[in-house]
Amino acid sequence: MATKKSSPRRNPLDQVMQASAAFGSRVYKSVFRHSWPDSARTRSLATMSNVFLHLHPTTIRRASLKVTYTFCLGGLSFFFFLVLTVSGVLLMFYYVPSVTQAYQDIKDLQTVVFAGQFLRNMHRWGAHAMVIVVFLHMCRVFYTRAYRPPREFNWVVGVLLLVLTFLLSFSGYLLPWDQLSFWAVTVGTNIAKATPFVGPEAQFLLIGGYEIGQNALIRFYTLHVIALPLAAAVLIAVHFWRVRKDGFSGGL
Amino acid sequence: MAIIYKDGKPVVVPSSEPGHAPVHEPHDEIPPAEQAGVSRRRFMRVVFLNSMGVFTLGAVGTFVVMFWPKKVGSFGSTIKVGDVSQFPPGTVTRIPEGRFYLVHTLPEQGGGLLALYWKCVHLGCTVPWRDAEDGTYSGKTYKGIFRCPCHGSQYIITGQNFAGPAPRPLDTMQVTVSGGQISVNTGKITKREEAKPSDQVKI
Repeated sequence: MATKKSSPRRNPLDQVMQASAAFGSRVYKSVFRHSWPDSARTRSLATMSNVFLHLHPTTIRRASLKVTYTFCLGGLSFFFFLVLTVSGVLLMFYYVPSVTQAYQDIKDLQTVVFAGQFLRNMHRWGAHAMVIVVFLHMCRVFYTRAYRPPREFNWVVGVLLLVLTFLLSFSGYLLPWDQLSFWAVTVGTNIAKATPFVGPEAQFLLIGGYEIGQNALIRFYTLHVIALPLAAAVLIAVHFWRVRKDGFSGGL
Repeated sequence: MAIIYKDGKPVVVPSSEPGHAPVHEPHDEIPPAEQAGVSRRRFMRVVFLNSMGVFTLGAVGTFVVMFWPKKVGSFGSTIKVGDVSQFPPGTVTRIPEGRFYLVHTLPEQGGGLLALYWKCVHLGCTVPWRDAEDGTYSGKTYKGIFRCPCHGSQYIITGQNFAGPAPRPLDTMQVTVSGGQISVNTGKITKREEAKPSDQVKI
């Protein structure tokens, strides 16, 4: 029968626990350069040292938290942008921008693809909601006089973002390739044709020909899924950064 | 007086003026050997920025040319219809991608080629060709007519209107015959008051 001996060595279980805790701590420290955010200082560090959060100020005034000042309209605009990006990327797995396939692909999304109808509706209603919320956000900024110096540059960035929102909406309009799309974009690009001096050329470049066809579809698709979202993402980053740098207009 | 360099540009600072002692920043000092002309830093910057400008202009220009579509192939562009021998006299051929009829008239009607835009000059409906019906214009009878289903405008083979609300003949598009090959510029549509044999392209 083994006799119990006193050993200078620690319990093996304790050793394993300590080693894994040390390893976990080392992994944590390799990702985060601050300790657990439970104080004002570490919370500030958590915001400052994170690439996603650092566009946001580390601290804001209590008065700025009043929901009825902003109604979160800017944040909601960004939220819808994210919803549209995610649902749009998912739709891209099934949609082919070809005049022979596009319409059928949309119908398949609604009838064959699992949750396809839901995705399409999310993208469609999200787009409508984004236009409405962006407009309301602009109204709020106007009525609270938040466009005045030193924020006039951010107002300009915001106007560009409004234009990008409209262009994203309009370029997405053609993609279902049904009668509504076709004639809406025919009318829309005829408006471009009315531009003084360069009208016909502008329309020709936009639709890649003299009438809406395959060239127009692929052009609108590329603008819709790459060029315009990329431009919007860059301007959104600038917009947020300037909010941080110029200070929040409420509660001053 | 002293000369200091700010952003590579020489700035004259009057040292006699009180309270305006020249600010000497070590990196702004340019060695005496270079003070005579353009500083090396300024030269390098001008060369670099101008090179970048030329490169950017070239890239933008190339993009615009790339973005300008060459192969359009639809209504509005020039469409190759085919060989002259495919269209004997007295025939009317529907060319849907160009939205026109290629007409080869009989010798007594002018004996040439016409590209008639199929849009009714009254209110814009597509006008079908009716082989079996006859039309009379200025005392002569013509075999086959264009008759608009919307309001009854009627045209003979040359596009001349002879009945219904149409105010003028069907519009024509520019026809070119080169080496026996017919091409029609569907972007070049001509209105006319009266159909004349001179509208037709002789072959």
